[in-house]
Amino acid sequence: MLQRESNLKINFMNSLKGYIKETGWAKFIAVVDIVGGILDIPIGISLIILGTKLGRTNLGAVAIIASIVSATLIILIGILLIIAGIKLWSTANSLENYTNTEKEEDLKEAIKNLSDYFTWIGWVNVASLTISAIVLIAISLLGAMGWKGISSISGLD
Amino acid sequence: MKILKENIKGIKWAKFVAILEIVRGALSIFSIFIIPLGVLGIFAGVNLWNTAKYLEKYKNTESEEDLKEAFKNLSEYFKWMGWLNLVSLILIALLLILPILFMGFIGLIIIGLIGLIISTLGSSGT
Repeated sequence: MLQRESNLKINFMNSLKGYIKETGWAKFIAVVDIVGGILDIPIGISLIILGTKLGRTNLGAVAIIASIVSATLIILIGILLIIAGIKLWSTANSLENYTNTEKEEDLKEAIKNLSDYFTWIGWVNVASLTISAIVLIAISLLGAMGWKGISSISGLD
Repeated sequence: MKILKENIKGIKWAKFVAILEIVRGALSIFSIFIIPLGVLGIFAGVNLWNTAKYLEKYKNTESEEDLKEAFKNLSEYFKWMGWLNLVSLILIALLLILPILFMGFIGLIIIGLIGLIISTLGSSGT
């Protein structure tokens, strides 16, 4: 009975191997995620510097708050992307190992890393949506401020 | 296979990312420039949704076929996302290079015009 179960498991592991492909693409995505994440950090820092400079102009508090919050989120996205990229690279590695060794441990590791990758990339998306919302609100506020200024100059008030 | 089942987590996150990919892809219809990215995103999103669906099914049924389908869709997802990343990088490179080329082209025209004016003035002076 145990022998039969073990044979079935080996057969299954063998046939599963045929469905694991495109690990090269997975590694490519992982590298893009890691490089993108690394680049996000200086972009975020530059945005904070720009925000503090804009704060001295008429755009004032809105520009400072929007740029600092967005910059913080961009840096956070960068860190999350790096972690997600590492998890995806590990997933691809474990899957590649599994196709070579057929060890259940490798498959287990791949599934664990893949689950983590989905979680991290999910948080990246949440942060990206938050930035989009902040940018939209900031643009609307700045637009309203601009319109108010034009109205007062042209006497439309 | 029970050990495998216990390691499957983050299915809801995968479905969330899949929905976002599909919605982003659908929204790309508003800009011709990013339509190819949108199409690739929709394919990737659908494959990711299917991966999550089959992993969820596998957790409940422990059917080997479900796990195979999950990996099949996951491989497809990697392929489409890979193309999406590649096309995005090419578009970013074009966005950076085209203005430089354009400015170079304008510069050449200006230099040509200056040369033409100088040669015209020179010939009218003699």
